[in-house]
Amino acid sequence: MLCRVKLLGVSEEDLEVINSFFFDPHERVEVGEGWVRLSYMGGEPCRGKNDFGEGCGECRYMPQVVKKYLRAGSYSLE
Amino acid sequence: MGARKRDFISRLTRRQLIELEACVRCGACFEACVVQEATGDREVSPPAKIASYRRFVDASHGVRALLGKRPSGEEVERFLEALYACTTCGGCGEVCEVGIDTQRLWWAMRRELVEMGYSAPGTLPKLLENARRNRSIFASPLELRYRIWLPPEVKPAEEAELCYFEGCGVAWEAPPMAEAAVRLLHAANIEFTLLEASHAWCCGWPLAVAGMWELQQELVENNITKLEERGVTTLAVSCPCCLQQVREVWRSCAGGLPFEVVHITQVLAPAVEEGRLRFSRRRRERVTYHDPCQLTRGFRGPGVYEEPRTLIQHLPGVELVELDRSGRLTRCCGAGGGIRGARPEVALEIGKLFLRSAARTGAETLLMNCPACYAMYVARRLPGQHGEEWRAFRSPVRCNDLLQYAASFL
Repeated sequence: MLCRVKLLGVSEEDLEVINSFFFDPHERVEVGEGWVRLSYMGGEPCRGKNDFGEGCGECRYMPQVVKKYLRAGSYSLE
Repeated sequence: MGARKRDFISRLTRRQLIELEACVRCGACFEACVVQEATGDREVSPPAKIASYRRFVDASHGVRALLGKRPSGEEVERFLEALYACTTCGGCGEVCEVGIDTQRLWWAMRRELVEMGYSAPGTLPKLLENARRNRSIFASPLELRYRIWLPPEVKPAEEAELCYFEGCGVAWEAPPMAEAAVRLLHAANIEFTLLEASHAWCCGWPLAVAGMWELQQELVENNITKLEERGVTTLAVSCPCCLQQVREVWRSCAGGLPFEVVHITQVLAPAVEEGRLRFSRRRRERVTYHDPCQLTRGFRGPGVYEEPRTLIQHLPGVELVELDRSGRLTRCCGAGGGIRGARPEVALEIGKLFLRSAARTGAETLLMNCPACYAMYVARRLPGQHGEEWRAFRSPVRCNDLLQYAASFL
């Protein structure tokens, strides 16, 4: 599942952690004004429901540091 | 490169020198070797590698050495390509008619050649650069590791007899594996501790398997000391390579271990059987399970086969079907041994064959249990253009981590 999620309001501290596990060229972090867009993991693009049938807030493929923004609804899928 | 008196043999044991002579080229290993299956290239087959290396030894130390026929640098470089076009899964040694322990033989050859001054190919030297700087094979600072994956509702104890060690491969390449492991420990009410993030150094396996041993003693001493200081009696690891490394290399470097080391499934399976860990959700699904190479034939003594299956069998509604090769004869998935970094095109072909074999079982989901497998099959990471082809390769089988899957039944 290739996640392309736009996180909103990411702290500097969390951005450092997020950057630490992005090392594969096809995965990347884009940083803009008030948002961070992740392209994470491979395969087909995720449409908002993962292989477990879960929505973004519970997505098991996302590390905790990302999940807390997803659970708080601080994201968009655009 | 100046010749040394003990070139080609200083890191080989007496047994391994005999093994070089023992190969009868019967070809039994061809069937077990996924590189052979994927490439058909006999130059990289186990008998060809043994024969080449034997020639190097003979030409450096036997009668031929008196004739001044030492192997040229070009010959050795060509041999290195074959030596690293290998996952070091040990499948060939498992079926060897004369009992050659090929896995350890490949490692010894790699170590010897690196110490002679040859470079491990591809991106492998980068691992050592990172480890020199960070004490991890990744460029990221160790301090960040738990902030990636540790869920806020799970509180590790300051001190406990059980320590969970996720390993750097899991922390950075497969963090959901670690999250699932501690969620399951938490659900089973099993107290555990973690090493301080900056104290948990690389176990050393990825460096050792690539032949780069310069940091081994330091890594081992640090990890054992930090675990001892925490009063740990059992170390539970998620990564099969960590398990092999601790059981074999740590033990031999330190002259013994002051704690027991187990795989995380060996902690969780008894909890399931005793009813301390229960799965409440039900899902009708057919799954198959891939035995990681290092978890089965990675060390002397019994491998870890039963516990992962015990967990699967307790998942409500789930039916387990076996792959055509399992247990000690498991088919290597092509993700390990440094091959993704050294020869990604070979890893890609092995990956396609592996997914086809999983599809033949009729399973909907393939469960894996190793961060290298996770990185290649769940996250679909493979370097360069081969990564593009790999991500575009479609399979009817979904790939997942065993514990991540199990945790979805809580």
